[in-house]
Amino acid sequence: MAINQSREEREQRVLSAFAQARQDGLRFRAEGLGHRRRQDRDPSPTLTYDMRDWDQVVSYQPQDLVATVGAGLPLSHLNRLLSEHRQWIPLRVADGQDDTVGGAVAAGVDGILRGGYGSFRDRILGLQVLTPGFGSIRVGSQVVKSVAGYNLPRLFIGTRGALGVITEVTLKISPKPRVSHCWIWRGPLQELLGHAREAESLAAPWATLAFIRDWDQGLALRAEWHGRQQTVDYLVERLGPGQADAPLEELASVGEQVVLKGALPRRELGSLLESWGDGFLVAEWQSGGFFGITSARNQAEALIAWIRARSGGVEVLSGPNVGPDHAVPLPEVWRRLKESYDPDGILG
Amino acid sequence: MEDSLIEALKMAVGARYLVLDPMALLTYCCDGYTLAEESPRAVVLPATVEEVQAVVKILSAANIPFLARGAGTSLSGGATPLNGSVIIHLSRMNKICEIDVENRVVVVEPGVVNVHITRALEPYGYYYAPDPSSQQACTIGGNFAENSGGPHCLKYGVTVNHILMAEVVTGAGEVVRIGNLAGEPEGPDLLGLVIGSEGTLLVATKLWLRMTPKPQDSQTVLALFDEVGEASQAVSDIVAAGVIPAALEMMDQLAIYAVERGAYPVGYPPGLAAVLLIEVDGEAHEVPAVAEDVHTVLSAHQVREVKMAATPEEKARWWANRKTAFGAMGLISRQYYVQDGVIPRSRLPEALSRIAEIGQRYDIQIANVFHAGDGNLHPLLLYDERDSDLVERVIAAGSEILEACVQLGGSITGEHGVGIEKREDMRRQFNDTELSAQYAVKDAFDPPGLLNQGKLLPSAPTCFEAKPAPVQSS
Ligand SMILES: Cc1cc2nc3c(=O)[nH]c(=O)nc-3n(C[C@H](O)[C@H](O)[C@H](O)COP(=O)(O)OP(=O)(O)OC[C@H]3O[C@@H](n4cnc5c(N)ncnc54)[C@H](O)[C@@H]3O)c2cc1C
Repeated sequence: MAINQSREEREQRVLSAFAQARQDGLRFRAEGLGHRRRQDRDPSPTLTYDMRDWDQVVSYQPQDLVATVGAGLPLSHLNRLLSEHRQWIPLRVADGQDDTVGGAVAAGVDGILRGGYGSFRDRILGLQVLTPGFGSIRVGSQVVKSVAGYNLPRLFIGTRGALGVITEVTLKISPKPRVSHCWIWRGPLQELLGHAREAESLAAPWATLAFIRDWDQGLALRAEWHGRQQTVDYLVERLGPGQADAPLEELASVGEQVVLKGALPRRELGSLLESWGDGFLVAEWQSGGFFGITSARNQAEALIAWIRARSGGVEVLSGPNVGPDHAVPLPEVWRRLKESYDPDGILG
Repeated sequence: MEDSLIEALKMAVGARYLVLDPMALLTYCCDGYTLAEESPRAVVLPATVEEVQAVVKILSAANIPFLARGAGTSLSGGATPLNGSVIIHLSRMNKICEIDVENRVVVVEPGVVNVHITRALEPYGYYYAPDPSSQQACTIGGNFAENSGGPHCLKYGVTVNHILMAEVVTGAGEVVRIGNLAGEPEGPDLLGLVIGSEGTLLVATKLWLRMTPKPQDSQTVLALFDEVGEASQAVSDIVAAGVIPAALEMMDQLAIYAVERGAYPVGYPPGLAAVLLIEVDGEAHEVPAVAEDVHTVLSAHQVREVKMAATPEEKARWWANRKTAFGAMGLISRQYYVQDGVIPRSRLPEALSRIAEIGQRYDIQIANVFHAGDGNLHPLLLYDERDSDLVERVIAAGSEILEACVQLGGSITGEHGVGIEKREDMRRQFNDTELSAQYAVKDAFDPPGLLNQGKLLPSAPTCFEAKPAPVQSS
């Protein structure tokens, strides 16, 4: 079925679904694996469109470290393919969930390796997007560097399909590290901060220096080095034996969870770890990126306000969309963009 | 310009900082792209965001087009005034406002020269990573507008990866902050969108930049080749071996000839077809191992010699030689026209032979000095402006090179921008609908279209309207 369909045929199906939504007065929402579903405050009747059959590898040239894939391809599948060439997409979301490539882009997810490998958004070189206003358009490029025209991919990253449905993604790939090694410390925050500072003074950048606050409010610091054996030997000498690998904390389900993601200026990370309250939090020391879960709505709301007051950025990644609305800068610009890309307002 | 407008602008910035004298305006007629020139209506030099705001409000109320200008080193005509535009020259806004080491953020005004930021950060053990070869002159405002890159952007990314937040003045004269100190967009990444918009959407008045820790160590490797094809294959093979160097630059025979006559000759042996200059950096124990890997990959090719820099001075000289390569062209030709296209790295051998073929066909000398690791080509087409036929051939050849880049799956510009120069070439890379989607951005930010007129997008969009999708109900 899907395998034999050309891109044009698939696009036509999505465009027909746009028309259907318009006709029936529904909101159109594309869905991948569904882990990043956000429950809107005023849910409108929605036509959900399954993107998982957009799972083809359009092009992959290992020497270029660039791949173009269908938006519905799970990242785990892509990484399996890339690993044959000792390459990967170093996106490890703290909850260990898999995402489709397009879903990860649209939801603006990031992972604990952001400090070492840069943010996931910076890997997105180009997109093929279906918009109600312009039909199928290619934005960005398929090479690692391009400044031709406006940087349109940025309009689709993290905006949850509000301007268009992502059907293909061109990504920058990384070589896999020769070796990786991991150290985990547990203890009070100040002690762990000391370890983080020491680790940074010995070598940089670490793949991750992630503070993990577990469900029982216990604190740990996970330091992972990706690189060469020479550095690992040196670090073992200075920091102790560590281990080759260690699984991330298990994330139990706690009913109606609010999952928050974002980043804070580094200075504030310690306070965030102290003030998170009930729930689970991973905060990456080098990048300021964090991923947290809480089951209390009012706590989530307070945290969102606290983070914004400190010039951080935060959004609900999944669960009830709580918290004060973020005042989008230049609201008129956004309104005009929305009118052009989605004139009938069918996209969520 | 009307007297009342002149008075209003004088009130806004002070009479000294309004330039109307035609002789003085001559210096503003073009930027580093000299194939288009036009005099501005006036130049204003504001010193604060309030002054920029006042100027923008006056100009937009009078429906007069305007554009920001930094150092005027743009190579695509971005800073060249068209249609009687007023230039807002930001050279007086040149303060480094704050160095926040704990958050690793440096706050600067747009007129600060790129290299001054790195110098200011040096005592703290940090630097500002994007390093255009023009970094001794170009400003961070220009870098913001062009999303500039540089030799070290292969590993560290370009300008958009290093700006966390911006204070901007919109076309309507509103002062707005976009982004936050953590560099984490909430919803649409408008900051990412406006970086690289070539001054066509707004004017940046303050920027919050990421400070990058200086690597513990670095090593520079130089490889001398007798064949361009071998050198370009080595580029791909280094990356395929899992090494991302900090920089991977290439120069061909004609470029070597020029730089050896410049201020920093390296003493390259005669008859070389190409050199690769490769820098690896990082943790101190790692660097020698990675440099050794690079050496091994290079040695597996037909290479005349592979050298590691023996001293910091030697390394500095190799880099000075490379970074002054554009200027050195002036020693072998009256003028040169820099092209800037991108191809997938693996297509480098093919791209270079196409460029050589185009040069032969148009009877033009072309030197190549470029960011090979990114596949970002910079063919330098040598010419003499007094030979009008040659000028025409140079322009046509440049355009054909861009067509070749697009055909090879690349882009018409990697870092120099579209400006005036490549407006029509945009049609090579994007179809009408895609261009309409870009026009929608311009229209959303700047409905009257006063900001930096005649740049970035092709003239007369063929179909700009937000049209409903071509759908049939199923
Ligand atoms: C010898 C040489 C080498 C070069 N090497 C490189 C290189 O390695 N990499 C690279 O990327 N580029 C390179 N360039 C190109 C150029 O230096 C860059 O594009 C640079 O960013 C321009 O900065 P500027 O201050 O000179 O800006 P200008 O030339 O003055 O302006 C460029 C554009 O920016 C806009 N602008 C300026 N300030 C602002 C502001 N505050 N707000 C909004 N818009 C603004 C202008 O309107 C214009 O469109 C090189 C140029 C030369 C001459």
